[in-house]
Amino acid sequence: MELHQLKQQGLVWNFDHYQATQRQPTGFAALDTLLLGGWPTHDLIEIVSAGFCGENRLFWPWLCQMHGLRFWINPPASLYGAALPQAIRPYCLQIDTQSHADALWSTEQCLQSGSAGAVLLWLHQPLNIHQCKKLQLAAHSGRTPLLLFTPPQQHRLPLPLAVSLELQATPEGLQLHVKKLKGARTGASCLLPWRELFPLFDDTSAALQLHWHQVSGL
Amino acid sequence: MNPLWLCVSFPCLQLDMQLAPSPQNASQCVTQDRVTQDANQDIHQARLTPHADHGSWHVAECTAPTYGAEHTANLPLVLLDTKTMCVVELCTTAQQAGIRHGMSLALACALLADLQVLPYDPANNQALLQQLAELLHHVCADIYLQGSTALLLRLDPMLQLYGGLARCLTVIAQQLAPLQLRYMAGLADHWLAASFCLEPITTASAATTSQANHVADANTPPLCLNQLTPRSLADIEIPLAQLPLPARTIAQLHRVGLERLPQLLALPRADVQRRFSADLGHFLQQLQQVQPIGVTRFLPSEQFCRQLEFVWQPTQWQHIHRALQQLLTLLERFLQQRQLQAHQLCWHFAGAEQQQFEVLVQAGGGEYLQQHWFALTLQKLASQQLPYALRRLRLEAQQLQARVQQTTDLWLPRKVAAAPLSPAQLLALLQARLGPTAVKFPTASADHQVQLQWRLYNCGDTLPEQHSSVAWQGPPQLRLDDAATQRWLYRPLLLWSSPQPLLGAGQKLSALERISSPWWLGHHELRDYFVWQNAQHQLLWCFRDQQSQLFCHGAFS
Repeated sequence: MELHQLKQQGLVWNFDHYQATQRQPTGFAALDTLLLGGWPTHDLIEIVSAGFCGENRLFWPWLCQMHGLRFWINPPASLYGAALPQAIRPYCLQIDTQSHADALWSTEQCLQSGSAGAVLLWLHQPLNIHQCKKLQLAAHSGRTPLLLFTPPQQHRLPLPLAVSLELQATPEGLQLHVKKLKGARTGASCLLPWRELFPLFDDTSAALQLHWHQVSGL
Repeated sequence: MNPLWLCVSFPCLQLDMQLAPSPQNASQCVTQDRVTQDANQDIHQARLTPHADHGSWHVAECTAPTYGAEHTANLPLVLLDTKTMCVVELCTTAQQAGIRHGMSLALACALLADLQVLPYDPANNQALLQQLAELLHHVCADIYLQGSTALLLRLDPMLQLYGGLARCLTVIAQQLAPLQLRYMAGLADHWLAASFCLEPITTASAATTSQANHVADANTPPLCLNQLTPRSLADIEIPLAQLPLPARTIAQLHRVGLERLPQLLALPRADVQRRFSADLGHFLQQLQQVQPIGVTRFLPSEQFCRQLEFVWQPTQWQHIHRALQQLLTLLERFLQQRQLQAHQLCWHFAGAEQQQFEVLVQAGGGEYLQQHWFALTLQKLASQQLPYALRRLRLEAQQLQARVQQTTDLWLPRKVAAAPLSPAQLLALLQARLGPTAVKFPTASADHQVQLQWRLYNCGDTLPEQHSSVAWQGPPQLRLDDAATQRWLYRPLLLWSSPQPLLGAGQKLSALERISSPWWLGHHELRDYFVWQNAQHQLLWCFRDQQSQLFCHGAFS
């Protein structure tokens, strides 16, 4: 097979060309540098973590500025409305499915509908290559990103993901390690300190003000 | 302008409706039937039968042979009047074999040994005729049902709208053409004359197949509908014996040498009333009226309810896909003609032994297109098994509302403006497959307790305004370095429905925040919430209750 055929099929990328594709700044300078400019806007992004370490916080600036519905599919607990800014809260929906197949079907429908701004999917079973490819096609056709949250796994097939980022919570902050980045070499890492991710946690006065503000806002 | 009446007669309505493929699915019929027959050799085409009570479709006892549509179309098939045992309707194959209307069953069977016979049901014919009237109602509003086989349309008020008679007739022919019905039509300046000057009419598709297939036995080739010329009542030699007059009056007329209606009309009215009975005078007076006598005016139904009976018994959902599409096509036509949309459909599935169950399909934003309702219905049915063999299928449209014109904002992003599915359509699709409670959105309630303050509500009952419309505002333009926005980061994104005991070591990252339930409700509870980082450095939202027990309530995902 010729090189240009491989390029047409998306199996080989030109590095310069891929850098020029549309990316959305993450809101964190260190992460932008790590991802060559930001998140890819309509592709598959995998976050590998043990959970509850602020992984959604990485997408928060992006989620707050995009159009369309944001779907949380099978999150480990219920969405808490108080954490969602009022401007985007009507566009945030949670889907709970009974089976893995239903979760994949829902994700595909949301991605290719064109009405979704982003789809966040928690999976407890590993994806096959063909499943991943199908979701990728749906993300491309609907121009919608899929944020895939998976637990750490020892052995796994390489999947056609645009970004695969492994998160490790440390006392200092969140350690980000690039497992895969389409169009770039892998292995880079950076540390996002907790203060940058959650600036209010160690500010007691701000927390108290927040409480009264929210209560009066009801 | 003189009155102008069009009489359209369908002498083989039941047979034609059953044998002709539906217009929308004509290309899919063969494929689907082949698939169906592979799955079950006993399967053959569903039979559409209308319900006489409320314009829906109803059951008809049927001993049809077990063949598919393409096979049934080639069989000699007749409908028989079970009282007189005479042929009422016949297919073209039977007609080519020499069978005619009114022929006795014995003679028909002598002509054709493998003749297939079905019982004729006048009520079915009447309801099928109502369906045709509904089809033509948006072309001409003045429609009357004449018996169970003919429609009477008053065209003169509509001519100005269509720009002439030829155009008006063309539109009517276009409405009837997809059904591939055999019919005759007559055009006259009087409602009585129109039904006595019927001529065989051909459609373009029928002309290409075979003109000889037409039901009429006339030697003249069939005309197109727009080639009809108006006739006058005085020009048509209507036998007096066929008029709705008492036999005694007709005998009197025959005795004085009057055989045809023009002869009677040529006599002075005063002489007729003086020499004959009052019935004849009354009849002549009725002839002068504009409104037809002895017919039923058609009024379209405001509710959609159609029923379909299977002459075979499908046992899998895929066997009834075509039947679903047929009913949904009728629904789409019904809704389009009235500028309506339906928010809920109710499918009634009835088995052979009086079993029955219902399936509700909802579309929060409202739908009217057949393809969208079909997709929703398939997703809904995919989650359950067909419990028994079906005999009957009924569709009711519920929650009808005026259709909302979806206006597209010029400033919408291209992605949103060109989305294949609107947000409401997407939610309806998800709910159809996953159930009405699977899709939720967070909503605030006036309660200080954390677990009650924000709840997830199902999208099934009520959709938020933002979802049901395309009122997509621009991007919120939230800035996370803004203090007003940052306060949202202090709350956990995920919350467990019931707090879990907090175990293990860790460190507290924030000050205590006291949240208490209102004492006036009788259940006073104090909780001191704080952010906790456990040994795995996970960020949790925990609280200490009045008994100093520690619980974990949420997580910063």
